[in-house]
Amino acid sequence: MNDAIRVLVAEDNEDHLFFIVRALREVSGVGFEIDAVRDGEEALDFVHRRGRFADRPRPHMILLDIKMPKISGLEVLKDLKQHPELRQIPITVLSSSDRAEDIDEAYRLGTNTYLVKNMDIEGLKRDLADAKEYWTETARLPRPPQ
Amino acid sequence: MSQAVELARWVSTGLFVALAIGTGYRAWRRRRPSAVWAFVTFGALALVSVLGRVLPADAPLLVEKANIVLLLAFAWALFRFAASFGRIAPRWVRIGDLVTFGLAVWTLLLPELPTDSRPAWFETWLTAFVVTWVGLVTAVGVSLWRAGRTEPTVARRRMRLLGSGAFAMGIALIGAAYAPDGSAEPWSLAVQLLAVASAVAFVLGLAPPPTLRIAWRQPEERKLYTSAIKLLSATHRDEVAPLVLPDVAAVVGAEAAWVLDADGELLATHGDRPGSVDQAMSVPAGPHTIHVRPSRYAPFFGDEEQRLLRRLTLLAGLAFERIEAVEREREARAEAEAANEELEAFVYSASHDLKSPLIAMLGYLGVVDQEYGETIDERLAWYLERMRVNGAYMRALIDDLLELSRVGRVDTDVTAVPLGEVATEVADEIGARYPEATIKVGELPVIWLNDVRARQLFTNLLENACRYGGRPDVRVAVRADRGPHGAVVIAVEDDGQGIPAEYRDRVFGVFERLAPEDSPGTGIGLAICAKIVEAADGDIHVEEGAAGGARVVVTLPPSAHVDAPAQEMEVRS
Repeated sequence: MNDAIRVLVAEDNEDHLFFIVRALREVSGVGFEIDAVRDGEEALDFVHRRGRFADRPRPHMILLDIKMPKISGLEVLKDLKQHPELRQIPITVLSSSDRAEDIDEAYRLGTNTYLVKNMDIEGLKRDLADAKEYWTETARLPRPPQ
Repeated sequence: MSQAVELARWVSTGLFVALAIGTGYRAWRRRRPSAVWAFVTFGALALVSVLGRVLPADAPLLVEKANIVLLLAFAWALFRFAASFGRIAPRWVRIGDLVTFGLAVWTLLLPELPTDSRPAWFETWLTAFVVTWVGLVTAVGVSLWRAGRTEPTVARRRMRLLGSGAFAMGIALIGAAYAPDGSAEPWSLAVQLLAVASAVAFVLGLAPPPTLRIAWRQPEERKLYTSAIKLLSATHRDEVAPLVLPDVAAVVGAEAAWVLDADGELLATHGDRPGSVDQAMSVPAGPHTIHVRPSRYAPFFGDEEQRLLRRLTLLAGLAFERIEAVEREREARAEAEAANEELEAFVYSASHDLKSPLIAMLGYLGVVDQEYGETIDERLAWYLERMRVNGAYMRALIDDLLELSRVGRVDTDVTAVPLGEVATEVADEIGARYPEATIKVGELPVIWLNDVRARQLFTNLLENACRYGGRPDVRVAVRADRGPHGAVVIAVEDDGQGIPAEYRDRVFGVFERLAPEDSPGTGIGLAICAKIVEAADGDIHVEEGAAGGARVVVTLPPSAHVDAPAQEMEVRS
């Protein structure tokens, strides 16, 4: 059995993606298998296993940016959380917006957590370590849908 | 007794002559059909009356008959006067004309005017005369009386007096024509008194004295008064017309009234606005014009009311002008507020977007350190350090700008904030960063404020005092006082180098700094403080402290006190 936790990171900003992936890699403990997509359309294709992502296994959890081209993170959230099978995948919204309206809307659409992006690399590492600890040690992740 | 009859005759004759002169003058001045008919009416009546006085008992038959025709002409002219307002059907006017003409010819053809015994042919003529005469004046009375219903009070009273005068004349004529043989004297006295009464009614109806007019005008004056009150409280342009037009119409007995703006655009109407508005009167009302189509009786009876109308339209004009000024001001304020909100939203999003690449740059600097730390030489390390310091400063600037754009927009809910606790906590934090400084917090009140903003206020003020004091061991004191009318006065005072008088206003501006460019701080702290205090309807200023340092004084309204009266608390929360 593969111990690695598959994480899908949906993030259009190259720099942010760089720091998120870097921070996730540096977090010690259970290994992460990271897939990255650059817009909402790709994110949906990936989770629905369509197109070039047809043979990729579904992720255990998703880190989702809100402001993305083509399909926004909130729409991805809405789609996945309305899907009877895919709604079980925990989603962490990782956004640079700390506006109460954005946070409320994300939870209304069913996000499991909302993190405000801390682009200070140390802060980001800390936040992602906390999130990882929570999802892999404190809480239990569901098995990803097949 | 006969002297009384004689006196009454002279009085009525005098009054009729006065009426003839008065209406004649008016007809000459106005040249309107109604004025001309009024003159013909009372001219004929005065002639009849005067001839009755001066003709000798044995005057020629033709002259006596002519006098009777004149009496008939009076009734007919009065009838035509009433008809001149267009309220008697033309068919009836023609019938009136024909009957009158026929009767006049019949009168002139009479062989004699018997005095003692009346033959049957004479009785027939007399009955025809009385019926025609009474019919004409009754038509006048009924027509004027009924039309008066929709007229303003003064016009209505005048019309009804004329109508009553006509009735009284009719009764007097019947009385004179059918005097019973026995009681000649009291009878003719009664007839003469009736004639005097009708003359008085005509005089009052045609030219009421000012005191009567003022008394009669009371209902319209009251209407004007209540209109004025209502107009004063109107706050919207659309409220004015419905308030004023019904009163405008009522004051002049108009069938319709409407308002046009300067471009001739119809703003509002009351009543049925006629297709042809030729007869309409227009009166300026501030930026607009009020048009009325007065009743047909208004030109003759309503001159008084037109003055009232002008007063009313003057008030309406003032109301229109006032409301337009208020609306212009409201629009300007809304525009300014919208522009301000737009600017704040712009500052927020621009700062936010600027922050993202900056943070990435700072992140990569960290990565460079992590990955190449050991191979970096001293010079490169210094360059990298300067990049980091400048990046950090830029980040602090952006954070402060973001914060400034949030004050008054985000975190606006107000709670009871114990300032003493907040200031002590902040003093501990700042004290940890400036270990040599001393911060003393006195007794501070509990006030209504947003707790995030209260903390921010003290953080910025205490940090400024320590940072710009000019020496590390600066001493800072926070005190509170009750100002005039119970205002909350909070002073943060230090014994540092102070702020020169000429800069004391400028320090509250954004990016205004007195310290050199490379010293810490962004120059936004006091601007944030000023905005927090202004959002709480307060005032902030800086003055020289007792020990020559700076004293920042924050004054908040009395209602900021938590123990302030309940209704003021509600206003704030």
